[in-house]
Amino acid sequence: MSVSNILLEVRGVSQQYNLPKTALFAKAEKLQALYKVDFQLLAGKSMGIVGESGSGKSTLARLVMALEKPTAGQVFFKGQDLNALAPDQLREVRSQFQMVFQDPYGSLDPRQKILRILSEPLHSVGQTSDGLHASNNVHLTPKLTRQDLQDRATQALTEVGLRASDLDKYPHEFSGGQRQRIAIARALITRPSLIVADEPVSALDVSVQAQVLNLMMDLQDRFGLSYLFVSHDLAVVSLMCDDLLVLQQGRVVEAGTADKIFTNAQHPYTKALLAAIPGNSEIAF
Amino acid sequence: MKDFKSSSWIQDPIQPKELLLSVKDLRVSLQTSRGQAEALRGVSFDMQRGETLGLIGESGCGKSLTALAIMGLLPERSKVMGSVQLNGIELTQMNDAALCKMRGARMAMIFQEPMTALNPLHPIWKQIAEPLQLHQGMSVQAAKARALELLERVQLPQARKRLDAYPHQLSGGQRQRVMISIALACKPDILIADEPTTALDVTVQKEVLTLIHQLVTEDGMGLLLISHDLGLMRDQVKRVMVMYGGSVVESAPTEDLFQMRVHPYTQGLFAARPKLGLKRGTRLQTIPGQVPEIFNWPTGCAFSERCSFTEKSCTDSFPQLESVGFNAQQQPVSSQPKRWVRCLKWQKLEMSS
Repeated sequence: MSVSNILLEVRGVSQQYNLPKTALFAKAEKLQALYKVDFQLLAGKSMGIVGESGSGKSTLARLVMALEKPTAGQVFFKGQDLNALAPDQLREVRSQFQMVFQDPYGSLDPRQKILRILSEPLHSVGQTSDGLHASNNVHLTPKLTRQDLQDRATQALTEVGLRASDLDKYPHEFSGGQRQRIAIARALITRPSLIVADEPVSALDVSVQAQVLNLMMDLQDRFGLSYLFVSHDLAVVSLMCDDLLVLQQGRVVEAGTADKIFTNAQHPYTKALLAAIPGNSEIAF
Repeated sequence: MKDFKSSSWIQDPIQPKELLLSVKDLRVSLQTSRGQAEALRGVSFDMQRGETLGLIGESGCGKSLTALAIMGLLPERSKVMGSVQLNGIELTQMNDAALCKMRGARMAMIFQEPMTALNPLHPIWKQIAEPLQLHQGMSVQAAKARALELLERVQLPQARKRLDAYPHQLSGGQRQRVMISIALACKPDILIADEPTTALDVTVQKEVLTLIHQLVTEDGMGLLLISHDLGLMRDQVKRVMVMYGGSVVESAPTEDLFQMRVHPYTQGLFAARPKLGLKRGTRLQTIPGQVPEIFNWPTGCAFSERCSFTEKSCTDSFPQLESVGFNAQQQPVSSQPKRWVRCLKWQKLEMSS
């Protein structure tokens, strides 16, 4: 395994939050959300993060996205320490990792048309070389013309199986599954090498979930994407991921290939998770 | 009940028991901003005392609406037709005051999200005591003592200390236990659980389901369990009804259904679900298209637009539920009514097992 192959490396990452004070003179309590988490993700592979609510899954996703700074440890993306980068540089690197959220209703601005939603990442990540701040410059990015944006957005939409005519619609005109496709298209538009997906299908119905999962697998094959796939659904994770990380109360209790963990779980917590899957008594029906 | 006509079809043919709930041709039409929507289009089933029945389907298929219609909790401007009888008493014609006497006393419901179903401003004992005071005329002290017993019965840890707790001080699983104790307070005849564990973690989910199962068995209640989770149905109920497009499309004993699916929608639903042990990267089978909108059902069979077996006759008329049976060679035969399917062409379909 060559070093350059490592897309993402999380090294000894801990995260602590201050809880609100409960009494006037008492010290505020601290919550250890993550404790010394290590893992590596190779380019083109997928990593699943499994655990229950409060186990630190989403905290880990936010740290990888550089939305928060860890209290200890480092996150390396293609060898660069994300938290050591200057804001400008970070913005540039950001185009290479994108996020898809759980709730396709909350993650798309209801007042914006799909074209605007899809092209937003292009506005905010691409154009830093001439010193313009992206946020001041949402409508007039110098390098991309309106036509370019339209073309890129159309292309992204077609990749996720929607039509170019959908660009002029608003999010409420789409079903949950279609909205999640739009969220994926928005993540794809900057041509990222990593997509962090935080429970991307848990709000969807079974048949729609299957469509979105198939789409995510197709896109991975086509673009050589890596997924960091946060989920509580072990069956979904086993389908999507090469490697797994099982978190319990902020600590990694089990890590390894998905196959190994599903056939030969070592930690009691992993075993409990597997045993708790409804209908798991007889898997093959 | 020896009579298996179309209206009273879901029952155990071997052991006729006491009829608890009888729903006949239940139709609900909702007033929406886009006009009248036929949300339920003729749902019929019977439940015996102590029976467990599952309702499964995707969002918009009418499963929650069926529950709300039984409870009399539909939005005000909706129209209900058909009949719902609990212990022989007709519920659809009842006025609000009379219904209030039934709800919480004879029938109770557990909702998906315990945080929104509980009142954040009252300590939990008051919320458990309320139905007891209301329906059984208990004094405050007696009701509080009973609330403690109930909390102990649902295995809330440190129940005595928790009596004065507020919902926000409890975890999701604990809140759901409180919800269950409220539902069980007056020993209802039927418990309706609408996605009771969807908001909970898997390990907690199992505990809560085991608890519901145990309590329902102990009290001999009927359980109507609504879920979109096939695996959960397998563990929890004896019979499953699959809903699509506001009607039941297939109904069968749970074991039979997991062995074999007849209706094309049921087949698609089972095939689409990711299972443990699939090879990584395996593409899942999908059902083409989307669930039709409720103002705009296709003519004829609701599934006709997405079904790969559709022929012209499918779009001509709304299919009826038919009793379906198979012999050992899986050849269709007419048999005792254990399984019902709403498909014109079930005899020509390939069954998936």
